[in-house]
Amino acid sequence: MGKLLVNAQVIINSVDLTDHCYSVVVNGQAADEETTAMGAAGKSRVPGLKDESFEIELRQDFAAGKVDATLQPLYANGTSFVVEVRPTIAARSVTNPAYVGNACYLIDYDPISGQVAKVMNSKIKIVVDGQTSAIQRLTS
Amino acid sequence: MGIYKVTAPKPVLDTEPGETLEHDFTATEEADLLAAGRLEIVPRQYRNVGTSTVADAEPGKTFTHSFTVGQEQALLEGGHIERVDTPKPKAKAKDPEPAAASPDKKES
Repeated sequence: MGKLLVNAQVIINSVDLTDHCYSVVVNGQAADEETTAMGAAGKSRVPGLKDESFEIELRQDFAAGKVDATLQPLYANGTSFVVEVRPTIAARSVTNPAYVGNACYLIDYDPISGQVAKVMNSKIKIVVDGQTSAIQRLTS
Repeated sequence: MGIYKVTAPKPVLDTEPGETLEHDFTATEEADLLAAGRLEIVPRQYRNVGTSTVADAEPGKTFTHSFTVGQEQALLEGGHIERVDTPKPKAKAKDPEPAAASPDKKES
């Protein structure tokens, strides 16, 4: 059964930016490594290295303790930080699993982007250092 | 300055395992030592001085957390948090010798 995503929780470096977020994607992707050999009736494959990330769109806010104040130091310093996304703002549970990246880096951040008379948004991409830790699915 | 507990069997910066250590590690040094299991961050108290919830603490509230150097720096620069406690040097037991004895003289 489909569910509307209306109240996802987004926490970046421990700061809850849920009230500024309007789009979030938790990307999980593994390389498609082919292992086909002579005599095969079809292509055979194994999953390769994982490449995981978070793509988040936020309403930009330059006020103290808001979006820019949270993201700019992470981008400028190249800091490793934790990202947590839940389907709803409720506590972690079996039906509300948290997807947590423990070693993340902010690689795409456009602090200012927009058009005249339009709401200023910011689209960011956060990649996960898969060598350290993959995205975890936590239910408690 | 960060506060750490030495967890590995070997000393870190002359601090024995089980004891706490205060030091300004770089983010890279700290990450390496944490990954190697030689240190763990001792949680410290912070106050949320921003306008967003930080580590489940509402603005104005104090909370205890073990941020890495980089995470703490980003939160401090962003105006989210401030430290509540200040690191104190390790308390050493006072020498019970009489006042007449030289304080820096040790018996072998």
